[in-house]
Amino acid sequence: MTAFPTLSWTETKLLFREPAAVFFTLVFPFMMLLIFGGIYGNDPANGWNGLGGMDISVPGYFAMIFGTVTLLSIPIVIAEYRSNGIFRRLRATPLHPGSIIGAHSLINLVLSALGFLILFVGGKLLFNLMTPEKPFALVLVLILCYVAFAVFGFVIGSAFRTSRTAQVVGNVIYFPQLFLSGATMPREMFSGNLRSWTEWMPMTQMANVIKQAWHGQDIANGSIVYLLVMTILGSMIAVKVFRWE
Amino acid sequence: MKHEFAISIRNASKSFGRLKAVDDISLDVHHGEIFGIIGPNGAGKTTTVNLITGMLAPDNGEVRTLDLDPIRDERRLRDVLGVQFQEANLPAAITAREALKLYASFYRNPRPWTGLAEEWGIADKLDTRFDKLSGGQKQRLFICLALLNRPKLVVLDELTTGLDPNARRMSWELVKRIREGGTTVLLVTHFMDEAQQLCDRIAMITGGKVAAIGTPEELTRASSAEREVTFTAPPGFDYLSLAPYGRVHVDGNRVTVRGGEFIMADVAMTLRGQGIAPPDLATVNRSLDDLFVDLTGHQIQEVA
Repeated sequence: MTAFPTLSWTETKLLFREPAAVFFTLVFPFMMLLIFGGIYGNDPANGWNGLGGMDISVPGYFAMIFGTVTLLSIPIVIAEYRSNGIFRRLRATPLHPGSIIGAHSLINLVLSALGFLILFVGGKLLFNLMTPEKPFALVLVLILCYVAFAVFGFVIGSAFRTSRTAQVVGNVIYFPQLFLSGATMPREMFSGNLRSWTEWMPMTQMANVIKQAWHGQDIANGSIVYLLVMTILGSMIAVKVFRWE
Repeated sequence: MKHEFAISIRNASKSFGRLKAVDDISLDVHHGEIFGIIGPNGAGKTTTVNLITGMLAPDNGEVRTLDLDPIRDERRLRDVLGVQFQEANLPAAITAREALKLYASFYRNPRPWTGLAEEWGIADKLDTRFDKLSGGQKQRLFICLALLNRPKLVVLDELTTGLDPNARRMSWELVKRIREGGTTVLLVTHFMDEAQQLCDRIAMITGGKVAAIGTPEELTRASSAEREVTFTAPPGFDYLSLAPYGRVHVDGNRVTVRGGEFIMADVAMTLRGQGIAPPDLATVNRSLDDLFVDLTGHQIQEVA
């Protein structure tokens, strides 16, 4: 059976015909790197705790990329494929239903990885970005974060009737977190109250563990548990709310 | 074992909340025939199709499609069944070529899609995005997808809805061609002329029930013992001379006589006796539309 590779490749081509998704995953994070790297540079002397501005920011941009694909791209595609009857046509074939979820998960992960690569190589060449201290832990943490967020993407895509509603809900969940989680703006700048209020947002947890692995700090057990609970809870809800039609 | 029917439904019901979408339906579809399911919107046609294709499980009764249980043997059924659904779609940006390649990859022994595309006249549209295809081209692409797995049974749900009259007539030829290839066709439509033209047998569905089932001829014959003769009368014609044979209706010089099975002979003899030979003397065949109105009290045809 060549169904899964063919499906994944076809969906990849379709994804690249949708310029917005590709822009916000590949181009926009790189623009952030250029702009803020240009403003603040990456000199540890101007930074914090012996880390340069970009050493602190780029792990957050990784969280931003995952947030974009899981909370913006996946919900829209899932809701659109369901409401337009694209799933209905696929269901009438011998294709295993899991293949569809698998293909969308895979291609968004690969797209994210491409975004990471652009950020890392760009950061290294332009701003002498630090190499992750715990690369193996970083990879594991990234996979956990992706799964935890992707299942919620499928939940949002399944729980709302139209792709328009799913898109709005995804935006409402994503954008406040984008600014409050430390993915884009350092939480070190926040006042004490705002910092504690935003500590337990999902994207804060994601940004934290990525930074910890990158900077060689201990990865907070609480965050790992948080992400695991998100994964389990999200999977249970996803199984409940997922509909082909 | 060679199974007897392509589709066999016994006392199947399916409700959605309080709505009985399919209410105790039984019907058999023979191998190699074009079988029509006709009825107005909301009659239960699509639910019936969903039961036959394993998209829904019946609440009661039994459904066998190609001798398989559509729910329990869903994967095996998907291998041998072709479908063109009314509310099914493809991604807007996918090209015809990509769609054919993708759907071919789902089957173990697909027909070469290039040959299919040529046969159905979309070979020159392979690199066109789905949303840039015309309605007729989309339909032909969907038929190609439905035929990729060399199906034994093809379900065509509202194949010609939204097509212009020319494209509709072309689709009819295509449906006949599918059957000539030995495939059984289940045609779901709300167009009576389509059913009458194409189908070997028809089931009329209304209110979730089978209202009538048979060949188009059987259905129109069975619907009424009354027959109808019309002709254009010459000036001064004595209408009362026909009164002993049936009910005479005059509209200008247009005469309609309704009566029993000998009404045509009686009218012809009477006219012969008066030396009148109207060139347009004819019996009126009752159409499936008339039958439908008889059975349900509703007009089926929507304004196209």
